[in-house]
Amino acid sequence: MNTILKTIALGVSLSLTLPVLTQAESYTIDPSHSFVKFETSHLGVSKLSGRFNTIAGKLKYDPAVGEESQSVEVSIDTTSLDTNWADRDKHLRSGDFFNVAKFSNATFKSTKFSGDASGGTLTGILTFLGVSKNIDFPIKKIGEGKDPWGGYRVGFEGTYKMTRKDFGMDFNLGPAAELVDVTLQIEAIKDK
Amino acid sequence: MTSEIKKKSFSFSTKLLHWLIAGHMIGLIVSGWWIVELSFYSSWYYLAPTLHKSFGVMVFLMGLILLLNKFRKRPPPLESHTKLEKLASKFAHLLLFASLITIPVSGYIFTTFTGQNVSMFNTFDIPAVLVTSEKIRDLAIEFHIYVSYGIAVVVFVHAGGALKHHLLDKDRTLRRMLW
Repeated sequence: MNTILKTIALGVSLSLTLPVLTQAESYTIDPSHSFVKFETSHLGVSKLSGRFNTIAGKLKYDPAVGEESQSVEVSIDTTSLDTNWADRDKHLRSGDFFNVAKFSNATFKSTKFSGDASGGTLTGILTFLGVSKNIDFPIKKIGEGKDPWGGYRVGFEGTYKMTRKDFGMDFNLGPAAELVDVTLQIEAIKDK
Repeated sequence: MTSEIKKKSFSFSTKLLHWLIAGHMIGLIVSGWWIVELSFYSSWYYLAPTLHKSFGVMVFLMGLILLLNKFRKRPPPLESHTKLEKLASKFAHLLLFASLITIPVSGYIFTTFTGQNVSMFNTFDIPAVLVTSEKIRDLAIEFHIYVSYGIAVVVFVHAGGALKHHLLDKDRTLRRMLW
């Protein structure tokens, strides 16, 4: 009797959760329209920005289903960093900063989203320079809709204020450059 | 100095270039080793790389002329040199000349990769004209580092050989590069 009840309960709960899992629409990040940018202060005088040219990832987005259906997974090829100055790029790629010879990838995998269709707070694990840290940052939807070529797209933007030395990147660039704004600006196409 | 000895000496331009290049090479290898360790707040942070590149261009040009001299007016090896010595010195010279051309070129490749020019002593620019791929850029960086340190060893062997001839064999090998 007890087992029958348990089976029924399991069946009911499965039938409730399964549609949620299957209904969440999955999207693939469009690398040609997605940008991971980083920006920090230069001597407190101005700002320096750069970007990673090679990123990949997937996201699940289905606001009708609810918060738990939203997730994102991004992989960033750190060897593709570009600040439009070859000497600086060379230094940034070295062990003083990104150490790309050892850590050629940085990943972010969301574990939780709270918010609605227009945006909210994304929580997840950022793995960078071999350090995995639980982080959260605000994210907002830029827009969504059909594209002219038969696909359906959605775009998000969010900025995480990173303390460099939390990930072991402690090359002294002065007190104004301890924090780096890392901006994820992604466009994704719905999987068919 | 008899004319016979003079004939076996290197030409004035070769001697001048040889010693200028020797000074440049030592300075460039040492400064390269030092530059990568400079802190952001060092007053040399900008100046040192500019000077390193400028002298690098100079050594490249001098290397080309010295290479021309080598084919144009090079005295034969001394009769007292053994076959092995001739072969070893030939090999060392080949490596030194190859590095004189390829180390500056590799530096030029990665420093101009995103299109920035090479500033010559902050007075004029050498334009960025080589378009390469990221793979070549990465290879050029590795090459520039490891071949430079490698050639430092060859420089020691080369100088050690000259000193051996001067101090132990007491022949004109070193002297004919001096006067």
